[in-house]
Amino acid sequence: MKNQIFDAGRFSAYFKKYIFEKRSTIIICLGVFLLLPLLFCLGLPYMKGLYSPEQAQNFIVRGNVTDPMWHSELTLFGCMWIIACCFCCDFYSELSKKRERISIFTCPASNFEKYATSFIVFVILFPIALFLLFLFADAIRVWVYGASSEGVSCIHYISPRYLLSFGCDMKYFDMDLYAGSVSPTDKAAMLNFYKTAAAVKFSMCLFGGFLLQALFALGSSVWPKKSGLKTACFLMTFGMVTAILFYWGISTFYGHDFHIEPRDFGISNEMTQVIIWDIVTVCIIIFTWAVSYFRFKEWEIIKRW
Amino acid sequence: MLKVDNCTFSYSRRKKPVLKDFSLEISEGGIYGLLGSNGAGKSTLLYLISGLLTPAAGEVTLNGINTRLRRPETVSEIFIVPEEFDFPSMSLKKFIELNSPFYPKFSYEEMMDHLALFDLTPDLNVNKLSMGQKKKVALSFAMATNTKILILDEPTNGLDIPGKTAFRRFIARGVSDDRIFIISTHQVRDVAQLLDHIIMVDNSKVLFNKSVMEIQHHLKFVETLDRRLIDSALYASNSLGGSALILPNLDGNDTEINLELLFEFAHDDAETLNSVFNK
Repeated sequence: MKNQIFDAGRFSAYFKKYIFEKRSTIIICLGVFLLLPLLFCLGLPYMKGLYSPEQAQNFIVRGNVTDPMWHSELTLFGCMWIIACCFCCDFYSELSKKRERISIFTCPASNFEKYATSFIVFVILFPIALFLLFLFADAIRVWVYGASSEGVSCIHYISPRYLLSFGCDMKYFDMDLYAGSVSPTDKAAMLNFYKTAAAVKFSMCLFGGFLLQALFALGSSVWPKKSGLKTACFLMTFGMVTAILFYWGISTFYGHDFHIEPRDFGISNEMTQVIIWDIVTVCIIIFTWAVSYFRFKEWEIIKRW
Repeated sequence: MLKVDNCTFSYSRRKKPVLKDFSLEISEGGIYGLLGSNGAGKSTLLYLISGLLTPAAGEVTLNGINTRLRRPETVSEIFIVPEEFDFPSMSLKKFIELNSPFYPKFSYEEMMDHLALFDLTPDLNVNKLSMGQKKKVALSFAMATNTKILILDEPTNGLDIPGKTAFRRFIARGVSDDRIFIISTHQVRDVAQLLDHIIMVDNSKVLFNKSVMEIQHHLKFVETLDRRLIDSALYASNSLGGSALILPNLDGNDTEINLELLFEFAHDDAETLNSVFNK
């Protein structure tokens, strides 16, 4: 008797069916993941003349960033990461039409297997594909400009660690930024500050992306049609209304000078504050995915709301 | 055993329930005809049985398991061919390759036989077929899955005349003692000779639920101009050949069931009709 929640054979059959039926969407996404960075990596150095002998001579390596394109590529990667996370608005796109709903719900795979398939594709495989295709586009940049810019020594493959850390790895921090201008004590304090700032930036990029995935997937389970637009509008409206109500509430009851900090709760260490925010965000992400799953289980072939 | 237990269903809270305290039990194999007026709830009932809709009250169970849970063990035993459906864009061979693993009793040979019966070949792109051809492919696949319950919603819609003839042969081939066919249709003439059991629904209730054998044992269907017979009929309706009558079967001779007339009788006076079977 097969397990009714998860069976490896049944799951792999459903995964194969899903990938094949969604192949055109997947190919388009992969195409975007490759073409956009490729155009950027090939176009920007040409437009800005980054690898011309004059500019290349003036390039100074700071914080192990050995290529002038890295910073720009990192910005593009960050933007593409956010966009890829928002692709989760397509998580339940098959639920947008009644005929497709019939097809999905009559397929003898468990709800968990159907959900897990979409999860693996959108939450795991798409970001991995984005990362690998970005590295591939960068490699093409190095091959093209390496071959055409002789004598230029600042053309290097982008470091995967640099990308994955969203530039927040302290290995890429410019340690000589304040060399000679401040005291060792102040330098240590500044280093600590930048470590914390880097941790905050990394958390926001990574967990912010995961949170966006979960929210857009939840939006897709509620509004399968035009899910991205509806979810984005809802999030912006909800955010604005919450901020306005919060500000109005605080200023009404506590006045405009009200100020609250984590220190007020006994949390003085900044890294501890970052870790606590990360844990809270992860809990919200898990909760959102769980709500999305139970919403999917409740779906019928008619749309009640 | 398939059991619909006091099911109530409404498409919207503001609208009248399509089914109210509806109960039905199907325990043996055979071909069940589900007949009813437009909006009577036939398709709704079929979707409830398939677990595609959630009843507001009651439940539908297959061998004791609620079909709404959509567990693989129940979903793999129920196959529904809806009135309207789409195929994904792929070849028929690929469609079979991707979908057959979910049905443990799927037979590729049977699939090919069914396609041949409908004059179709396996080298087709399922997305580019006409509605009638898609229906034939869907019916062939459905039959080849060898699921315990096969639900067909208006199966002859879109079929050409040879297709309808082939459909009757197709169904007759797939009949077995443990397999349940539920055919919902308005085209009663297309399926009249196939049915083992007639279920009529209207006004969110089961009006009539009897086997063909019982109907033939208790009722007689004649067309006549004989005034005496007309006066003594349980139900009469004007027809081209005189009056179509339903009479009690007193001499024990079976006659061919006039399903349309029987439906009219059930719709107009279900109580009298059912009382004949209680005698």
